[in-house]
Amino acid sequence: MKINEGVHLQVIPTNKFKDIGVSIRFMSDLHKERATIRSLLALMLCDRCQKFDSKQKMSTHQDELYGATLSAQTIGYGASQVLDIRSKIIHPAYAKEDMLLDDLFQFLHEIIFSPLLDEAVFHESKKILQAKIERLEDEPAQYVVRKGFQIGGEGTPLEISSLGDLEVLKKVTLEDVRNIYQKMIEEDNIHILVCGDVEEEELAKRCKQYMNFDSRKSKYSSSYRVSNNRKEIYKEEYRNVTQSNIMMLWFTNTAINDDDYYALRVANAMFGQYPSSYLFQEVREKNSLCYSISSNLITFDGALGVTTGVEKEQIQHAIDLIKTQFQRICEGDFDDQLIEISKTMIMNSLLATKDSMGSLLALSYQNAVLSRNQQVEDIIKQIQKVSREEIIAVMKKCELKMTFVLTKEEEHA
Amino acid sequence: MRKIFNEHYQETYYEETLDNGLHVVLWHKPDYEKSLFMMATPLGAMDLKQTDEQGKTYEFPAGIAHFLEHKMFEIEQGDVMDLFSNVGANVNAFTSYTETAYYFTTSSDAIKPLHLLLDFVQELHISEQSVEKEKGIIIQELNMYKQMSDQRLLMETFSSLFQEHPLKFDIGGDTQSVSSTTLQQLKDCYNINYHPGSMVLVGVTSDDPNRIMNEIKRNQESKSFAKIQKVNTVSWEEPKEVARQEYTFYMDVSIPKVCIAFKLEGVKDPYERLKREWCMKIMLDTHFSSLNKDFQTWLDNGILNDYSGCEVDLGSDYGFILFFCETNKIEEFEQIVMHTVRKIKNAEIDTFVLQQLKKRYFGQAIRSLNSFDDIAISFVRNYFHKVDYFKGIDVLYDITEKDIQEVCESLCFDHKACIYLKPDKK
Repeated sequence: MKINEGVHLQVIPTNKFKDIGVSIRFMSDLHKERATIRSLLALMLCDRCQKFDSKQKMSTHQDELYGATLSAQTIGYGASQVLDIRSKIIHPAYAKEDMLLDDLFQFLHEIIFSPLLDEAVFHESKKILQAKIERLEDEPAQYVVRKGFQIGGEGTPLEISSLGDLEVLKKVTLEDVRNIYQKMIEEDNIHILVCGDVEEEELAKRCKQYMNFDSRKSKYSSSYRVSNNRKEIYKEEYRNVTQSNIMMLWFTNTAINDDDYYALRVANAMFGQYPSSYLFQEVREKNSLCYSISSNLITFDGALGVTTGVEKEQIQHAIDLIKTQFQRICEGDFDDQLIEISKTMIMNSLLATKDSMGSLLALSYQNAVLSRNQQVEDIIKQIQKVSREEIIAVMKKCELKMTFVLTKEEEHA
Repeated sequence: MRKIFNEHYQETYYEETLDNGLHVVLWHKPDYEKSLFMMATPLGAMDLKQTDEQGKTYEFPAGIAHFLEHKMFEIEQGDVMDLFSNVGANVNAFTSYTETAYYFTTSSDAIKPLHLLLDFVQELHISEQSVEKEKGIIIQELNMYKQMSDQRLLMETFSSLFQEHPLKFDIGGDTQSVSSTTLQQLKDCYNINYHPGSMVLVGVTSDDPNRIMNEIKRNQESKSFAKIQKVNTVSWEEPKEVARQEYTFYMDVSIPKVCIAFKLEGVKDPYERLKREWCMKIMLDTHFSSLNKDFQTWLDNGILNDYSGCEVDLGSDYGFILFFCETNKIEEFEQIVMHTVRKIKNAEIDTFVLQQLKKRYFGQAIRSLNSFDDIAISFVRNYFHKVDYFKGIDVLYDITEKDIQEVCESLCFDHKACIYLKPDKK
């Protein structure tokens, strides 16, 4: 439902949950400098606001709303970045307070329209964002993923971290944040998503009252097929780690709105998404090389990543095995049972999205971003139709771009 | 089958203890697509020395419950995970210090995976060769946790707090204990800890409870089990003093992390334990979170950042409160912890804040009933501790300022351990 030009309300009515969730999403393009500033802005927005100008007042107010949750984060959606402000309250019936939803919208109104973008909040949030980025880089399993995207995806949106970049962060000023905030309020594409036991009409009224954004013309594209001219790269880095972490990155050359995207989902499931997959069966079960191994689609960028952790001596062996499994799918070396099992697993996950508020919000938003209205059942139909030939064809389109390894340095005698 | 409906939370479950002793709980969640079934035994990482009715004593290497959990997945035809995949279900398991649980989720019909769950948990099928092969995988798992700095900090904290209590060991044991584990030990451990009479099966599903219960009975009636043995975990003498007052270790991190932990007495009675835990949690949330206006100053002065927190955990034979943070100002952090501890000891609490926190926790309790995992895990734990699910939640609402005063004044903060994780010298 359109509230204003570029501002939409999407309601997901259901009474199976004990709470009501609101997610307000601001979409802009994913740009290295601005991504960091927006990430910082997200922290500042949910820390304090003009009306509740201390953490103590914020917490107290949230407690009055029966422990209403509030969080804000930035998420990459391919070539765009979304700043998502989320909040949940319990169903008013449990609180025996009819106005709870109204109270929540009032609270969100304060957060969004009267933020406290001052020096104190700026400095604190800057320190916190710096610590968050450093902490992520400290964890080997997450570090290799970041490096894989950064090096393999050079020159593309994939190289940009939605959380932010330390070098950029150092130079950010309060003025930058204020400008980006203004731009966000005036120019971003806005979606207000509400999930729970609610009525659209009532929400439309609340949005007019509390989320009165001006109209905007901007349009951002999200989904794309990542590509660059770089050749396949192998890179090792050294750190004092107990386990060697590997990240392998493929460009799939398939976008989420391509016809063969569903074949890619099935191919990925067979390759490394589930315990029934080749990676789990061969690398973990048959060769005992690792505890965890999985492949994931980076859907909006058209990429596929594999991560695992092994002993230093087994790095090459593991990489070879992973490549072999990939090759097996490309060559059609799999039986129909693996296809069927993988499809069933995907369908089960799809059905389970109906039981999770987070997944329902994500699906609804994805539909909005891609200008379509696909329900879980529609996706299931597409998955069921995928043939062996399509799986092989879509996997053959993938190109290995990057292998990144974080390991211990050779010990010198 | 007994039906339990809770008006306050609008939730319903059914329960029955079968002839072989297996306790079955079916939590009814209408309108949901997925189902979750969890089968658990009260065998955890703490149970390292046990005796049976004949007085035979078993001593197991650290990590045995976790090792057994891994090996349970092995069946005659290979790996039971494949069979779950074939019927469209995801199976998994976890081991804690106090229990081992096996569970699956599915959005298809639950009957086939339910039989699989009952069958694989009720039979151990392992060989010398497969036990050896598993060691590599488990050691990689331990290594994975070891390089996560938060996990390491917690492990080292437990090792600092306890001298004899098995909490001093990691749940999975270590490379050496895993390598030394034998086929016979795994068999013994299984035989004395996996009897249906000591286990519980919890299902969370929209499916008809009668249909599900009949299937479970049909499955159980087709099997026979030896008479249940009473198995005891041998207790240990844990001194009041901590094992290490100060401990420093190094990892590749950007900022040091600190944990300050206080060793407390355990509490035998489960409801009393819950009450005491809530009293302490209320005090911690009052004095060591944004509800305390000093908290902002601590952040502004760079003593704390967003990675900080505190926890309280009481068991029947152990207890601790711990404070952790990421900071370059270690001494200042120690000062604010000692300051907080004094406030707790003095039981400084405001009536208004107490009511406010109860509102917050009520919201959290309501929200937790959305989560199938939370329902199943809480039910399993409460069952093993002989705590009624809803009574357990409601303990909080009866807490008064007087309760808090009594609990806090009796606390002893004399036994402290400090654990420092510092950046590697490059």
